[in-house]
Amino acid sequence: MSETFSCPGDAPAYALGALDDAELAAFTRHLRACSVCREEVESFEALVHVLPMSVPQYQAPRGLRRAVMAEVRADARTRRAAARPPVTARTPLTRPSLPGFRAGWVGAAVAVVLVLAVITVGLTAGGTRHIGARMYAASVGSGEVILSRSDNQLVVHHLAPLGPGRTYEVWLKRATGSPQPTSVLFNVSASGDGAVDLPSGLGGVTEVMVTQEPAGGTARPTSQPVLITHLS
Amino acid sequence: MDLVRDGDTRAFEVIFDRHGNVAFSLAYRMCGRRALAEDIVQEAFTSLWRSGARYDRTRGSVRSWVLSAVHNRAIDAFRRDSIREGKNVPDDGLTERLEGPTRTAEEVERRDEARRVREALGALPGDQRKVIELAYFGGFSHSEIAELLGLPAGTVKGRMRLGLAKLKVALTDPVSL
Repeated sequence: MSETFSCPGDAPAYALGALDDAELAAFTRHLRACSVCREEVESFEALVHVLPMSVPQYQAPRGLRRAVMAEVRADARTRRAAARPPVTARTPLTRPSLPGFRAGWVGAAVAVVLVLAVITVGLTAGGTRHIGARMYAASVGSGEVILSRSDNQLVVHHLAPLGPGRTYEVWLKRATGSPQPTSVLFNVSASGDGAVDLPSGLGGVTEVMVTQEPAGGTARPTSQPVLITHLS
Repeated sequence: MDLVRDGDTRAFEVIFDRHGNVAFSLAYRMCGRRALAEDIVQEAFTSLWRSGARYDRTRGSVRSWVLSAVHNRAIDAFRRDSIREGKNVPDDGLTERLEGPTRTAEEVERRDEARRVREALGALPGDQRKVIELAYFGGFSHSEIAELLGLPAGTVKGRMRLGLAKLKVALTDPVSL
């Protein structure tokens, strides 16, 4: 069976990360159906992975190692603390408005929307600050946003694990404009837990959204958000 | 990786010690600023720590996993801050180039691999090497490269394909090793 009659030939640019957003979305869809292009992408990606070896090699600054491991140990402490039974408050709210998203979203059938309000104030020993985060979900779920000096994290629990070909994608929305895609794609564990780093530059970002998208992500949301975190 | 998955910080420390230098070197090559390179590597490693459970060894080595994270973070930084200074990297105090005598078989192997990759990349026709470097290290899309170089987008894609195909031959052909 021929699968190549409409191949766009974008495997090299895809492997190099050089496709524009619209092309990336189209080629990602194409990859799901074309084993020839998938094999080509795998072959080129293996090459791309060795390109860093061609650059001049430097010793990583000693302070960098200390900073990384301090962050890791602080996170490990936070995880251990989080493993204890949580004390959270669940408050049902109305469905949020979704300015900037496709009109199709608004008309889509909506399941029960739950809002988990997690309000934790204070600084941990590692300097990590838990701010008030409001999470919306189309199914039972929970989560929180954790901000620290060096990075920002989204932690979710009890979301639906996604099957092959699907991924959760994180979007950032500012006061004006439509949600912007990020490179943050993730899935959750069998128990529905997940933790991802958010881009560090959240200045001006008012909402962090998560949608279910095709593997590889998309340039524009194609489904309703399952989570919305209001930062402001 | 199983230990990292279980939250063992010492095991993660070993990963940093093995791959921290090449990760930092890649970030520095891409952004050209020591402080920003450090931020990128720190973000990447903390992200990897938190996503350790999702490492899939069938999709590549730990080094590829680390370097992909660094590369993605650098691209995020480009998009966030419009920073693209990796083409001519200023050496702002980085004197600790890894050029000392080799000590372990692993280091010998890595340096040999690095030499082969450098030679293969250097052997490409300049126009093909340029589009590959602009895309991977510069974070430019093919349409941006086309605009930069005054070329049709199809030509840029064609050069990417030819360049990668030649790299593949050079890095897999035993005669060239």
